[in-house]
Amino acid sequence: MSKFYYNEEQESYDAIVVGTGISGGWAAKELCENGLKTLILERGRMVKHIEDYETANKDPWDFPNGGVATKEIIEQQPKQHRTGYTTSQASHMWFVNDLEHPYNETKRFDWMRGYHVGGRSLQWGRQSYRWSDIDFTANQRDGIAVDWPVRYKDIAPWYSKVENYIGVSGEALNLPQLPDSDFLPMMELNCVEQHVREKVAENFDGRVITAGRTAHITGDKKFDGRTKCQFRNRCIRGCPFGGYFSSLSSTLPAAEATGNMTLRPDSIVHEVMYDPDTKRATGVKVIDRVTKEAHEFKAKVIFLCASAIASTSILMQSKSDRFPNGMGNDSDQLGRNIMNHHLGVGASGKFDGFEDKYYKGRKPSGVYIPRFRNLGGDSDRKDYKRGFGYQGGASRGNWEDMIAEMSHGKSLKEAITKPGGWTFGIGGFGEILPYEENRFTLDYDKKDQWGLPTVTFDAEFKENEYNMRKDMQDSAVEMLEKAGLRDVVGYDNTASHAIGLGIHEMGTARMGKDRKTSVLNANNALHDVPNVYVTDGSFMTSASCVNPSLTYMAFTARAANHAVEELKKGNI
Amino acid sequence: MDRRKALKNMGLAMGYTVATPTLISIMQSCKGEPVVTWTPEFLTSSEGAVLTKVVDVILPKTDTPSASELQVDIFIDKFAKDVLEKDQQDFLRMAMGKFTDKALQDSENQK
Ligand SMILES: Cc1cc2nc3c(=O)[nH]c(=O)nc-3n(C[C@H](O)[C@H](O)[C@H](O)COP(=O)(O)OP(=O)(O)OC[C@H]3O[C@@H](n4cnc5c(N)ncnc54)[C@H](O)[C@@H]3O)c2cc1C
Ligand code: SF4
Repeated sequence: MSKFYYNEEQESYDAIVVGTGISGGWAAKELCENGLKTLILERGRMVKHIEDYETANKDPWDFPNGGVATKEIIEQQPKQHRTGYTTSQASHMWFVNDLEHPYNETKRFDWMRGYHVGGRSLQWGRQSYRWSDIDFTANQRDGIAVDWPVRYKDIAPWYSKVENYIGVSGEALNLPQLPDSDFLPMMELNCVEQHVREKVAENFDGRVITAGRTAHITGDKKFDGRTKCQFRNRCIRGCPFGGYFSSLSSTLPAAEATGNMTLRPDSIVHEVMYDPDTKRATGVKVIDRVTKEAHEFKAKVIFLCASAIASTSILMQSKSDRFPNGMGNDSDQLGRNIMNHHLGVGASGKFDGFEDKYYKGRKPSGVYIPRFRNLGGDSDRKDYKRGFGYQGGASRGNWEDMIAEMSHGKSLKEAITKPGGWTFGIGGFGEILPYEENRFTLDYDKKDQWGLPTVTFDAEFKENEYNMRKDMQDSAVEMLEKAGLRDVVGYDNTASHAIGLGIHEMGTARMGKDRKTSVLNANNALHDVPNVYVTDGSFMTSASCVNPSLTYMAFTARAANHAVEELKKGNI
Repeated sequence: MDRRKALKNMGLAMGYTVATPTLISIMQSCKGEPVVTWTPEFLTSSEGAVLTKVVDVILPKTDTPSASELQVDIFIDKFAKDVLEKDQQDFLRMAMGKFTDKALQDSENQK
């Protein structure tokens, strides 16, 4: 059994939080700061901020084989390796071993996970964008799925609360489709990014290129225990400066500081217990990852923040006479409507000029092009609904493009010590619609080493996604060409035609106004068990096209404060 | 590579684990002492010897060290073993064999 408690274990708590990732960290902070004795259960190993970032200070030459994923790594992490970048020697330890954590694919699904204290907040890409009412009303307008029971004005103050605590750098633009955050100074664009921005603004009405909005500390505002980003772009390894937001650098320390938090790693939660008399959840069942011992912990309120697929699986496994198909699943929506963002489509090109210009440091983010489709008027498309944004950037290449001319000897040596030409590239992030038949189920015949059922995915893109992808590629090519780049090539990787590589799984326990067609209410609590809250991606009723984690944080903070109020009122 | 920087990095790495072979090799190459022996793990020893020569043709010694002084040859051999897929390995072996044969033949012909 793990020895890494911050506090001694007790039998009963005010609150239990399952998961320590982006949403669990926020639930922990808010509940503890409101005075609730809170037990945080995390299935993975303990990770100590800074101390345990074993590769953070390594240079390229410190890794054997140039740091690339070796055959040995790929054998253990064949599915995690599908991203092509996360399994390098610098970061593969933050992704699960697929042999130990198997899942099944009726249709291919790329499920990228990190099981450790901090969850994927440690290795996330930090892109942070608010939703707008164009997103919250999308299902209603299109007559798709169910309407969100929440609107922008309900969540806006919580966005502010989160942003002011984590720090989000970016540029205010006052766009209706992408509301501004409470920003720290933006990361400057480099000369080519700036040039393309001007050209795109000249040639395309209302299209904007701005700096990626990222959860990094820039400027002079002070943050507890964290310092300014040093522009070293090694964030995926854990940041010794706390330059970007993670649970480990930010929310968990805040929760710990209250003295109300007990953290128990190595604790696999597999069931929420239910009392039919009180119609409330009473606690959770846990299997110790290491010893495989069974434990039960009790609390007045439960927060499931284990990430979308995991939290939904826990509800599915929580069967009782009242809930034979899983807790809160009268609607049969649990596990359905899996969404994500589709990517791997865009364009890149070369840029002649600015050969005398370089950039200082390694900026950990590039440019963002906010959605410009289906916003009314000329922007509307007949062939698909919703929209997409692009992320990308400009950089100077290495010597590779010179190889042909100078293949060996002194001249090659000279060439390789100089930076290569500029390239600029963008890749789309597109919205996926919620389809009931895109779902996952549990397979009780194939169990993992803890005797728990495994997840089987059966989800795919449909016409809307494929039609959107065509436009994502064509529009990217068109913009780069008009911006004066040469040798512009578009791409649409067929390897990205399966759901998953967006790493934004969501939607499997959606919110809604009606308990017959949704699982959660407007406050993230189960319609039918008001002391169980689910605040990770499960709750998402639609997907928008922006990266979701900022929205998970805002909803989590709002839900936690709601739970505190309900407890005070004696409602739960 | 500046030897002082190499030492510093090594110190940093020592804090975490033992020095990696790569670091040791950087140290050695910074001293400018030729590494006397290396036994290829993937290639045969004669192919290894050819590889050493080839990398120095591509990146010869100038006012900066040559490829073999930086142990690029050892790197390539290890990379082939740990990283390359089987078909890539087979291709490399085949190409290396052909190259070695041709080189031998040419030097025979010159005699
Ligand atoms: C490489 C990469 C780049 C990304 N880039 C971005 C980005 O730029 N912007 C963005 O918004 N998002 C990004 N994401 C996605 C982002 O990481 C997730 O949206 C976010 O971490 C989700 O938060 P979460 O709390 O729901 O889940 P997680 O952060 O995954 O945390 C879940 C935690 O729960 C634990 N857990 C799981 N099951 C159980 C169980 N049964 N019992 C107990 N504990 C359990 C896990 O071990 C984990 O610690 C990226 C992700 C990756 C991997
Ligand atoms: S770029 Fe900034 S946040 Fe990322 S690792 Fe470096 S200092 Fe930390």
